[in-house]
Amino acid sequence: MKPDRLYTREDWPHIPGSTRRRRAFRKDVVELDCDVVVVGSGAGGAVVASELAEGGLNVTVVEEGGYHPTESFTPDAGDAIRRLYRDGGAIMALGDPPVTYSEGRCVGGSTVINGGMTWRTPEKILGRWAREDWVEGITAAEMDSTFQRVERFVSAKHQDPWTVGKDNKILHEGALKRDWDVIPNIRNQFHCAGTNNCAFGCPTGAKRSTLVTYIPRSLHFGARVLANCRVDRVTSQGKRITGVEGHLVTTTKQNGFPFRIHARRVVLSAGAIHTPGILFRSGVVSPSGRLGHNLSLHPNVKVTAIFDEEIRGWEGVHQAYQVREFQSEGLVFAAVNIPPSIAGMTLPFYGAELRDLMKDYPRMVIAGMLLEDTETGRVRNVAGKPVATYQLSDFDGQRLVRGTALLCEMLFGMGAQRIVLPFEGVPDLKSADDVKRLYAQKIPKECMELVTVHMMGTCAMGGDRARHVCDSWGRVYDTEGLLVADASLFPSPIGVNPMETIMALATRVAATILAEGRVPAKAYA
Amino acid sequence: MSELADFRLSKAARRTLAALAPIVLTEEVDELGIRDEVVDGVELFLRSIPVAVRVAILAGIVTFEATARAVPSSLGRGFSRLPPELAAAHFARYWHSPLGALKQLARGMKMFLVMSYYEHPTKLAQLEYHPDRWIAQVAQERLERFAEEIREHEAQVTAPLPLPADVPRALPLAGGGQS
Repeated sequence: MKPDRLYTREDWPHIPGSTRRRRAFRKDVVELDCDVVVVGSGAGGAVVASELAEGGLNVTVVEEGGYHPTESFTPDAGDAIRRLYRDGGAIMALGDPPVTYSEGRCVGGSTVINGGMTWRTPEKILGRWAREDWVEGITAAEMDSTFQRVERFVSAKHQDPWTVGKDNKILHEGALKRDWDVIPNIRNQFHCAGTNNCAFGCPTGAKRSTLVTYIPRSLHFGARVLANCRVDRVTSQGKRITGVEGHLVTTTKQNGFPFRIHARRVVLSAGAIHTPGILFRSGVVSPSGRLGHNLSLHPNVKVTAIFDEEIRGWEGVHQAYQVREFQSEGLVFAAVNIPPSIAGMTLPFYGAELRDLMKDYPRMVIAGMLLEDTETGRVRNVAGKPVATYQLSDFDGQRLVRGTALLCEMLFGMGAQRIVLPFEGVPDLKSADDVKRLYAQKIPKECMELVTVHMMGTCAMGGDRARHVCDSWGRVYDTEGLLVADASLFPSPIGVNPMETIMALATRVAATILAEGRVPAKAYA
Repeated sequence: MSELADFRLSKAARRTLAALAPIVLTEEVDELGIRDEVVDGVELFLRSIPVAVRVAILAGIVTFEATARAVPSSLGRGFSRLPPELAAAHFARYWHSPLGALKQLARGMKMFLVMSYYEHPTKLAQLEYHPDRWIAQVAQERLERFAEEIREHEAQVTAPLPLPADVPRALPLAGGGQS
């Protein structure tokens, strides 16, 4: 059942508290008023909305995607991708090689489709942000209570051991055998059953995405959530923000009802691609000239290892462990089972070769590697849409090859018979001896198959308006009442999964808004 | 609730994809009797992607079909009317093309067909891939084992817990202004 105060396409235009203004020769516009409008309902938006609503402010959350409750989640990957992912998950940061990126577009945002890794920002990263970017109040000690609060709401815990599947056990044992540092993941879950359906919506609700935590909390404290609503631009009078304008998302070529929300403050939490996109469309100019710059991606590659024994990687929790041995080099490894449709479409074969390989699907261990990148890309505004460009550096390309080789060595050590590489044109590996060849080989980065789900940094925060887009508290420089609360704020990549960092920064943004107090409505009349 | 665009593949595009299916997926797609359903699955996926990308893909499919006519051995026939060996050779030319756009098109078409094929229940049953059974089993076990704890935890979701004073925040600026 749909919760109270959460409105979807079917409810329009009769949103309680709204007025419908008639316009000559144009569609009627639906208007609403509130203290704060939050754009996006993922790790950033839902947290801000919840904290502000509990703090007594009148909050409206605007989410472009639809509302899909826990009961609607199944292992049908294709259906989930079509419903829960932006643009069917088929978006690329342009470059050579391109990087395919995915983000959630549903109530709960990417927290509905992520793996549930819940890690605090590493201390060295917080230290760097304080030292080099002059971010205030960001040391590990200062952030401790904020992280604790987030961890409590999303139930950040270690996995129950009986839910760990065979693929993850292989990764764990393989790492231990080589005396590598391997740790159990902390995940936002409450007695996760190990369904391995994290990326397609948790069918038990055990993964504590914002869909089942901060969004219900926001609604409970009086916030309103408008699903299927796309924000076109932020409205302003001079530098003072007055709200947002947008339209109902429909399934036809025609835009749905236009809406206008009058608000004293606007918080953008649309992610590192779309938050700068909205700012561009709104004509916001950063004095730093850095809006949309500084895009980091944590590029990922994956290897597919075939074992003699049956693995059945779909039985057991997603990413139970992380190999942290090479974290100082910016490399983190994990076992990441994916369903046959996605495994098959990303394998570099077709015809009989693909058919024969896919027969081994139950014997596959799919392992991935996250790279803390050193190069940055950019988001630009192209005909009103944000377009990302990103060029992998030679140095990062070399580290990806090294990481892949290390991962392959470990998998062969555990009995892998064959490993398919994420490098097009490079033959599969059949033994540990082949890995030596990989170390020695110069692999052009253009042939690497890169994916990511961690987009960061395009509205970087910091204490220098000449270098940063937002101040330490997410407020966009040279505007009044406009804030950012998502991974756009990161001044640099963090080298671990970003959800908890986003949530913690969003908590700070909410605290700042509450500290500023309710702005009198007449100031914005 | 549908999030999908109102779009249907043209007959010509369906013909091209249907002809490509046995090359990408082998004759197994016909042995399982699911060729049309695989093309339906591609259409479903195309409904979820942005219009501009969809238009580019459809233009690519038309190009792929038409360029077969330029090959002398095709005798002026489009891709979907070629005999199997010539059709396979045409796709292979795209797959191995030194031109990035052609290569990407071949990979794109392959990805759509493979995604649709390996989502089909008949194919998944053949692979003995039954995640639904696994999910049902472990979800039930979770409820049996932790029902009380889960109820208590869910009740905590909406319990009041005001933001503590030690969460870092900016000090209010004079006049309510902005940085």
